Amino acid sequence: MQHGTNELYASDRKEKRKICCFLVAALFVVFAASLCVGVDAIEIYPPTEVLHCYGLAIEQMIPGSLPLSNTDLLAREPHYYQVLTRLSINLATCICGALLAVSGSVYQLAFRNPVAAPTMLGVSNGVRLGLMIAVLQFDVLAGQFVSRAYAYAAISALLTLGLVFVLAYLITPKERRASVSVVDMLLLGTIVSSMIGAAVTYVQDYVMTEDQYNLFWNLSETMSADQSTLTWILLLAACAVALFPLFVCRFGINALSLSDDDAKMLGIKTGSLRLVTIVLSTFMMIVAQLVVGTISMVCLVVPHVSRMLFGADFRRQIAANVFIGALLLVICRFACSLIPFAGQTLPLGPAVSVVVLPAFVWLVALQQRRWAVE
Amino acid sequence: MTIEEKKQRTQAHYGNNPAPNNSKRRNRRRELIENGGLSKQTQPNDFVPGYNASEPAMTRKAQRKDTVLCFEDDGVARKSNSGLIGICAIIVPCFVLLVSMLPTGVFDMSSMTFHDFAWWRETLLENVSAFANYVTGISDGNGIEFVFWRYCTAAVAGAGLAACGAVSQGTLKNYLASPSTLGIVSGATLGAVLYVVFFEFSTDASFVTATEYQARLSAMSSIEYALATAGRQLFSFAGCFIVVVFVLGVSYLAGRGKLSKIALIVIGQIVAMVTAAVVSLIRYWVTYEGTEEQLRLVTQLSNGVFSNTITPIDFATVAVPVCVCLLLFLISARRMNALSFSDEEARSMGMSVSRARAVSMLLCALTTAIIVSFCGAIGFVGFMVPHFMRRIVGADFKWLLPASMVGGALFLVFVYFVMLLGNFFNGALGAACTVVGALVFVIVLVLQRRSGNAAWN
Repeated sequence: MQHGTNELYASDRKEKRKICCFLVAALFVVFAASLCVGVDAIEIYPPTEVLHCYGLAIEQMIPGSLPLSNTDLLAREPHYYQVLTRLSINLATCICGALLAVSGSVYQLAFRNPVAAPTMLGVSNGVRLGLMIAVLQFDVLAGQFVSRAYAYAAISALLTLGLVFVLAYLITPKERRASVSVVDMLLLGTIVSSMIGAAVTYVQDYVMTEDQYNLFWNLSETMSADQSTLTWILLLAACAVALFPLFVCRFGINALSLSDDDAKMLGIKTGSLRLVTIVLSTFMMIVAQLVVGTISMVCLVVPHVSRMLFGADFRRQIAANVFIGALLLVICRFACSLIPFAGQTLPLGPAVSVVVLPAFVWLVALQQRRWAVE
Repeated sequence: MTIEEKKQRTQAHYGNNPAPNNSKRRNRRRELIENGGLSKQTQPNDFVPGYNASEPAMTRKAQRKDTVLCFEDDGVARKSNSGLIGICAIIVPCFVLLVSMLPTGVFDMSSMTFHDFAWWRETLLENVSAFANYVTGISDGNGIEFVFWRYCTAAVAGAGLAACGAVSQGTLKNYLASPSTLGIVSGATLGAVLYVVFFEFSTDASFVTATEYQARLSAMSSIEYALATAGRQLFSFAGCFIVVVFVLGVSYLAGRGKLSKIALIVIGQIVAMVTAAVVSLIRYWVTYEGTEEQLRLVTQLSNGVFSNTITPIDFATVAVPVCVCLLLFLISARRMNALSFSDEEARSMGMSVSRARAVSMLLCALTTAIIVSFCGAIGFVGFMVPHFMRRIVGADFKWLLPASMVGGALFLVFVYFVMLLGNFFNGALGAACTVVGALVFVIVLVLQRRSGNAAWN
């Protein structure tokens, strides 16, 4: 049986239930604190002002109220738009953290490999390729045509994934084509991902002008301040289409970590389930990357952390990953929005990496069990 | 009772007949041997070497092949690869020499047409005569020697990176490993980039004469002198070693005193991502707040460049340490063979697995640090060339290591030549290697389909 389902883990032991409460509480506290930071300039607003802005926004949304013009709104609350944009950015970051963490954990389960990450199949570099093509084609206007840039990115990500599948199919000899080996797919994913990444980096460094480079960097690494409704539609679609079905099938995904025979004995179709979960988690990762940028650290590390704390049971993993991923990204977003860097604030991706490393090492040192030596 | 007395007692009991042999199988075997249908080799006694002194248990050839580490040759094309590798090792210097003589430039810029054959022949002869002049010391080679030393550096760098790749894949027993998965390449790049951005002693050539420069150099303390001449290499070494020591340390911590292979891979990937992220941050910062020179150097370092090594001294600075490390790899090829079995088997052969892994990783780090400090981050060679060579010579490190070195050298020289031909890729060597290598690799994989593509064995 799967390791850990019969044993007591942190969420079972009473004294360790504090960890769960601490996680949830920390998430809310940090999220609330991060709502008080400005967007364009690094300033901290007092919480009362923030609450006044929210109240004003809610008033505006009530059907019968008097609509105020922009000048009136800014006269009443000078930081109105800043506060609302900050709320929207932070909520989106939270959701993206959850999406990335869950997709990483599903990939590790489906490939049965603790170092699997959704970036392995070349999808994240496909997104970067699409954004690069959009920036090169529309030049500086790509910042306004965000929906078109997103469309390019999504299409190129799906094309990259399709390319990896097609090549994996072509590489297997004819008599084995019924079952393409996962290992071949990973190998090809690595090759295709390196190739596309190198091409994109080359274009970024040598071909793009400075404006284009700035725009490409903003689109792919930091979050663009243009929080259109498209972003929210994408995020909600990802949650509804991908996250919710994964939650519903949590027992079946648990069984994916057993051997294929055992899982089939339990009545679970492993082949199709594996394929479906991989596709869903890839979709989650594409959406998260479009909104927040390439953060593969979350996909790789957060499943390990939640496995250390809560055990490998996917029914617990999915909840733990949601909270830990969201907490991680919210903390990093909070820290980044307070640090100036080259005229803007620190971009999120590199900062996440730098924060995660010491935290992971500390957890490895604190852990009770020993990592496998073989 | 003495032995004689025992013999007499037995003889008295049984008579002079030997003990009856009732075993059917033994009788059958004896019949077959006497009739010549079964060779004596298959008798159990022959598995103890030396027991039958008249017939050796194994032929000479079988004894040579019968090391513990002899692999079966399913899927291996050849039985003995020494001839092939010997030929290739001679081919590499000839190839380098030939390629450096070839004219670079396919396109005639003035008339926008391809050069014709006469131009090629003329330029080739010019280059050869210029190089001959340079070698015999008659005159300077009119620029051909710069190209030649760059190609030599390309060969050495390719060999070093490919050998590192083979060693990484063998040590981690993972088909997806390469020197960059453990953060070695990105750590070295980070060190070099930090030096270039923060510590570079810029000598403004237009304001400083040679004598003043010499005077300044001699006035420096030893630390400053070391930093001024070899600062980039020192920082690159430091970055590389800090990364490797950190990764190894955390893996030992995770394994509670033993090196945990899975922690090595996970922590290595995390550290690789962290260092790459920091390098991209620095590059972004330099774009907006740094000088042109810094931006050029940082871009070169992240993308790979050979134009830093144009004198024989530069080449020797790269080649000598790398060749020493390659020799050390070749010497320890059998130990690496043992590592690719399971850990218990390796330990039963008397090898300390953690120490062997750690030493292999440190040697990889040393080789890659030297190469990266001069040539920037060249990524794909260490991943692709060992895969390729494994399809040709098999997974035995005794053949895989030299084959990877030869293959890596040829590959990198070829890519550099393609790049110089039309000034493709604008000098971004890393991108050229990755794109060309990936295309070649995918084409070969598709054309030669096999079922065990990414299996280690």
